[in-house]
Amino acid sequence: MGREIVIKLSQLADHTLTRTRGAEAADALRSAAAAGQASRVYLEMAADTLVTASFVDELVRQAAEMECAGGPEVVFVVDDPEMLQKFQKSVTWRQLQCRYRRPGDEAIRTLQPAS
Amino acid sequence: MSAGHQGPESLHIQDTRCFLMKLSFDNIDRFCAEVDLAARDSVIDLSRLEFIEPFAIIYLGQFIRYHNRLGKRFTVRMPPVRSKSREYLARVRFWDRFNFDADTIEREGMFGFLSATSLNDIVELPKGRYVAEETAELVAGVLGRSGVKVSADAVLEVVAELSDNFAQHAEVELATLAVQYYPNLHEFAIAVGDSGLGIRESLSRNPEHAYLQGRPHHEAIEKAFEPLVSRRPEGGTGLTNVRDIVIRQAGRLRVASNDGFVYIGEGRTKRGKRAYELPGVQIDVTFPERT
Repeated sequence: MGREIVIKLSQLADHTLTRTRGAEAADALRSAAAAGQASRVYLEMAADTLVTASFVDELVRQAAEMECAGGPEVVFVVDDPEMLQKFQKSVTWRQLQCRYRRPGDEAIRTLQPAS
Repeated sequence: MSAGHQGPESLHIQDTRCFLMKLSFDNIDRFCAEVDLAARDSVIDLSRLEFIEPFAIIYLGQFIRYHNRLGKRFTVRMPPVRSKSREYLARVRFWDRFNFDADTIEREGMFGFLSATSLNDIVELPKGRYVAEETAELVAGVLGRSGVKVSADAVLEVVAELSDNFAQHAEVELATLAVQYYPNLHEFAIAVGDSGLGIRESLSRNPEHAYLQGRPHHEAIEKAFEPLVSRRPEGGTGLTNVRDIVIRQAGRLRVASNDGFVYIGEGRTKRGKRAYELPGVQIDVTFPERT
């Protein structure tokens, strides 16, 4: 197992309302992971600003792409049930899986597409 | 009063005692279809206007703007002085926004004044990098001032999605936004519109959806609600998300694009053809207040 790093969403994005901002956050995530030589990134999604489903969807999509390309594994740290619902929608829409854990809980869970 | 940039002005004020007119999603297309665009002096008759909802104001404004771009000017018969509808159109700066000349606006006293229940303005949304963020901030201000009891997150997510959709797909530089809180109806309404590419044209640029070019506009609108349907391979969740939010909030969503429409609300979906084909996309979303 390589290095693990923890990043707060606010370190990646000032704005969290659109897919475009999600793509920028994913780029910043890639850079941070590369700089930290991380094999796993915990991305803490708690934010003071509204995080839209399109923003989440772009992060989920690009996290899956990163992993497929041999990049780091992304574990989203999510507490808010509404936010988790946005992740659930995204994996269902895209028929992907994504990893998440709740703050204070070490267990990493996998979100599967809803049937 | 003339809408356009050149030529003589003409202002007609008619007696309104006969019958009054309400303009809404349900009839604004017919109202526009009845404007004689072939006439030298095309008249938009608002003299009997009693009430106009945000969707209709955006639709009518885009109708004027679209035809102005094609070189058409209109004579607008205005509601009577001191009528509520005339004051409302002044308050939202309808005349300023949709190409009416500054001299007439000043002479007729068509200036805005303040209200806690609307944006006090039809807002221009210039296509730009932060249009979604800027629009959401404006609407957040209205939510804060008006004290309306709706989910701010739901409203702002819808506003962000709709304004970003315009920026990504419309291929025109400006859209317009109107926002209104109806305290007596316990409803909060947002309308966003442009006279750009339209949904069918946008989707059909993706080879996977090119078949829509030969299909009715309402079919393309319905298609756009499906997840991952977009002209771009990475997108296609915006309208899906808006629909889901509206359903969760027990609201209403109405989308018009060219001559198609789709209505989602009260547990049902209606779709069909409108009486007038206005290019672009015009959308309104209504949120009921929480009791």
